[in-house]
Amino acid sequence: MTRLDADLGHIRAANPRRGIRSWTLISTRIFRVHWMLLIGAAIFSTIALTLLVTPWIAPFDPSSQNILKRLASPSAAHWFGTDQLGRDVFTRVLYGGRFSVAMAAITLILCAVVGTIIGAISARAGGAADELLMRLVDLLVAFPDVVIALFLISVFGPGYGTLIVALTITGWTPFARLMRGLTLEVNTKEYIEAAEALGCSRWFIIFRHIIPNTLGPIFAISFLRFGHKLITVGALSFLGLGVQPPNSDWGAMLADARNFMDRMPWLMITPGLAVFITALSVTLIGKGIELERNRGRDENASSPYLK
Amino acid sequence: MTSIVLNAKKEVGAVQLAEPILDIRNLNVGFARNRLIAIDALDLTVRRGEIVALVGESGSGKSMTALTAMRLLPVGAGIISGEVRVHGRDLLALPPSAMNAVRGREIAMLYQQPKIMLDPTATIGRQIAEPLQIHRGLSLKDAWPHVIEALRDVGIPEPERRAMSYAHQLSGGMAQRVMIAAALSASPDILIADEPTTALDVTVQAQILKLLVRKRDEASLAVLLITHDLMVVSAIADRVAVMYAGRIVEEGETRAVLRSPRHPYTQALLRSSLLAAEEDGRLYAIPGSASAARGLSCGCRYHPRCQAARSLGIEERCRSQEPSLSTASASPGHQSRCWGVQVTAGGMQ
Amino acid sequence: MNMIDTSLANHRANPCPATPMLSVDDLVKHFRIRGRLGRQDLVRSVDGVSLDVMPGEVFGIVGESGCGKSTLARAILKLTPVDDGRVLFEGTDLATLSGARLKSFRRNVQIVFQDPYAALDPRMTIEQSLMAPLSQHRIGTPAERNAAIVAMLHEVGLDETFLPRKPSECSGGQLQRVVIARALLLKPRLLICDEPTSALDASIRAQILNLLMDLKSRFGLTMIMISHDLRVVRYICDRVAVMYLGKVVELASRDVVFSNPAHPYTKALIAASMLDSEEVGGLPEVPEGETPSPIRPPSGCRFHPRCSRREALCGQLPPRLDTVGGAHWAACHFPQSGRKPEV
Repeated sequence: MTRLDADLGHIRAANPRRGIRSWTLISTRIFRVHWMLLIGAAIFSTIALTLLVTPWIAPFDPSSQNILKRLASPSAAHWFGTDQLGRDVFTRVLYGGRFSVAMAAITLILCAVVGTIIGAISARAGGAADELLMRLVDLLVAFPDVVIALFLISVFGPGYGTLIVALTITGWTPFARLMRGLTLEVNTKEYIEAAEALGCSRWFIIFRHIIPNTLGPIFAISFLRFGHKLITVGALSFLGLGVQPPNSDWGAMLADARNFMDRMPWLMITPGLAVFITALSVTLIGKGIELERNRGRDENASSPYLK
Repeated sequence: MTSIVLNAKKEVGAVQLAEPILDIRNLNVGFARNRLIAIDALDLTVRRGEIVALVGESGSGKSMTALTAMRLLPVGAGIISGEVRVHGRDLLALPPSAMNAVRGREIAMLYQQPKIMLDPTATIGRQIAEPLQIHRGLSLKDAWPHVIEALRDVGIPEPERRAMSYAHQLSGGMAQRVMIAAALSASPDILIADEPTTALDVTVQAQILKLLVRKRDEASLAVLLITHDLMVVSAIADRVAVMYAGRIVEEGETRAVLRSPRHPYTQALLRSSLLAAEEDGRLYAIPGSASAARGLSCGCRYHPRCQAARSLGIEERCRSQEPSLSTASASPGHQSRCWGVQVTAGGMQ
Repeated sequence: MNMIDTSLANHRANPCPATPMLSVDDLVKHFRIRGRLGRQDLVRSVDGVSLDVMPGEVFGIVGESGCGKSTLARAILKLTPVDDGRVLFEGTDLATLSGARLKSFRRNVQIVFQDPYAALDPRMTIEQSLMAPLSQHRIGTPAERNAAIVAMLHEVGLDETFLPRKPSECSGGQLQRVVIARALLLKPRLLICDEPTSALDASIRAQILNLLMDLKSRFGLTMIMISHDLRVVRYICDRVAVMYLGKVVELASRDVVFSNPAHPYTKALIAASMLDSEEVGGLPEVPEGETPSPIRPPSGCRFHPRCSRREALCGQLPPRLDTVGGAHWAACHFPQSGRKPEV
């Protein structure tokens, strides 16, 4: 805090925003980022790191059954208890998380890439091509994504590949819509006009000018959509269309736990909590990025002297 | 603060002068992040019924002065010391709630981009009525005749119909007239106009300036006009203060300052803004840039760019000591912050 | 249309020593915008403009907001499709250009924008911004490109220390120099300057105008200077076209326009610009009202609702751009020189 005082020390407050809560201040002052971003990133990196090293730290084998210890309550040996086949729930939450989080991340990245490029092309092309692409987006949005995924899975059969393809086909639309709007905004900037006047190619303009200047919001929405993806992956697994046994993920664990909900609630609570915390942490990151961007914009706008 | 500026007794014996409405004393404003000083020991007085122009280039601190007076400083900027007195009361010492009662009632502001400053979702009539509702406690219905009158007064045709329209239906000039009507509806004593005509066409600019002059004459309005355009200054300002790097470098009656500028910066600014070819067919351009003043902690802020300092051979003094505002010519109140002026004046005595 | 064609014929009959570098023939550009209740409104941004730009001259286009001067510039650059009329660059109709031929046209005509902060990609370094035109046109080897960039930075009064900087680390004046350097890297013959100094401070404005004049003679440029600032135009231009609501209302050499304006709008513009700095105090007499919307321009002469000299005829018949003596053209029924109106 001394550093803070030194910064503001010679300035008599005429600034109504001084009375901000101190931990917000610590986050923004010392780490120079919004507290939501800070906390979200802390939780998510802990989760990601744990999932990464799961094979080395997991106390049990995720598929080793022990009928004698089935449906045991949480204890020192089994932190989250055991399931109906006597498997350690804590271990299974960790291993299940590897599938859930990886699947969500892969489909999300694919969606972001596909959506961003299609959105940018659509906005730059304009006219009939733009109209056509946006109507396709409307069409895809009109169907619930789980329904489309179900259809694809029923045609191609369950499996990771199908799951990823299905979720990408249904998931790129929000990115395309956002990107189209952002591109139209950037399109009005004179540097785009200058690039056209200089004879720069269409792809140069899209990849060197438009995408770098729209990456911020795309990044923010990617994190915000992550939770949604995690839940969709979970939902499909819950319906038995995602990960196939003996592998499992959080959605499949929830499905398995349904039958014991009244007697053994932790079977359901632990994977549910895992989904919730992971989704929350990533959403906090996304929200933090968004707020961070706005803050930067405010500061830049208010101090023309710092040009 | 490093520099303490002696408050030169400007108005000694000036009994006939009108009462000061806005009185800024020894104002210092800075940015927390990089400790840049935006306004340094500024003294400025605006009296009843006069237009005082504050002239400078971007970064000179002229807009910050306006924002400080309104207590609307951006986040990151803070007041270090000083007073902004309106009718003798220091606005900087007021609690925020009391400041809200002052804004619009005693001190009002005009902006460069009127169309952005108007609320797009409310009719312009409502926006003009707002100060009356807040400060006079009138209902919208009771305020309405005043609104129509205010619109007619600023030269808007068919005010009854116009009062019902929205900001996007107005041209730039009309929007600025509406802003003037809204700013003056609770009859404040001082209007701060921050580049009010910069975004307007030149033919419209003259109309708006004319309106300001009429308001000064009819309502004895005091106007602090922030501008970068010396032609606007010469057209309507009674007095002018020239700012450079957060300081006033010259001030006085408009005629005196623009006809016989004494500070080398004022001279250079005037010469370069005319855009008239010199003997060699080129334009006069001030050498260097204003950023040269940024790192200076002592001496005259203009000395790195000053040719007079070199030709007079007083560079050493200009570099080490900052000159104070001192009498520059016989014209009343004409002062400049320049060693060169003081040296030549001293030499003549 | 016919009237303009006649005036065009007159215009062409004017003996010219050289063939024009750029000819704009009866150019029309309307923007469709969605009005209230889904109705389509036409913004008549450029509405029948003809002019010639001679090699080596600085041609000024003056007007207030909404007069169509920037749209005209974009049409000349083929950045926007036109609705009618032609733009000929050295005899080639721009409408016929596409692909490789359009790309080589881009090397001949370049533009400098008003706001240097907006004209450079904030995420690119100065080096990347300058490299783009050279690499996109595949000019030279990478080493040659680097040398060309550094040399051009020196031409515009900067140096190689600027290369790694981002636009946010430079001042407006420096960025405008970068924008000029980028435009000149392709060695264009026609440089269009769209309000190149109006976003800059007074002291920087003079520096940039001096630089443009230096570069013009160094590179043998022909220039089109678009501005609302008559002081800029008076200093830099050889010939001036005054635009009002999508039409050229007066066209003459600079000296004639400033000393003997024939169109009432030109006179008003000159008066309002307060060019005579000697006068302290007092405001000029200016026409009432503002430029009407280009969606529904007034009938007849578009300036007539604001004109102090208007007569019945002005509201009925659009005047055509016609000579009022030699190479002095004005679109006014009652021009200052006293020419009889033709009904």
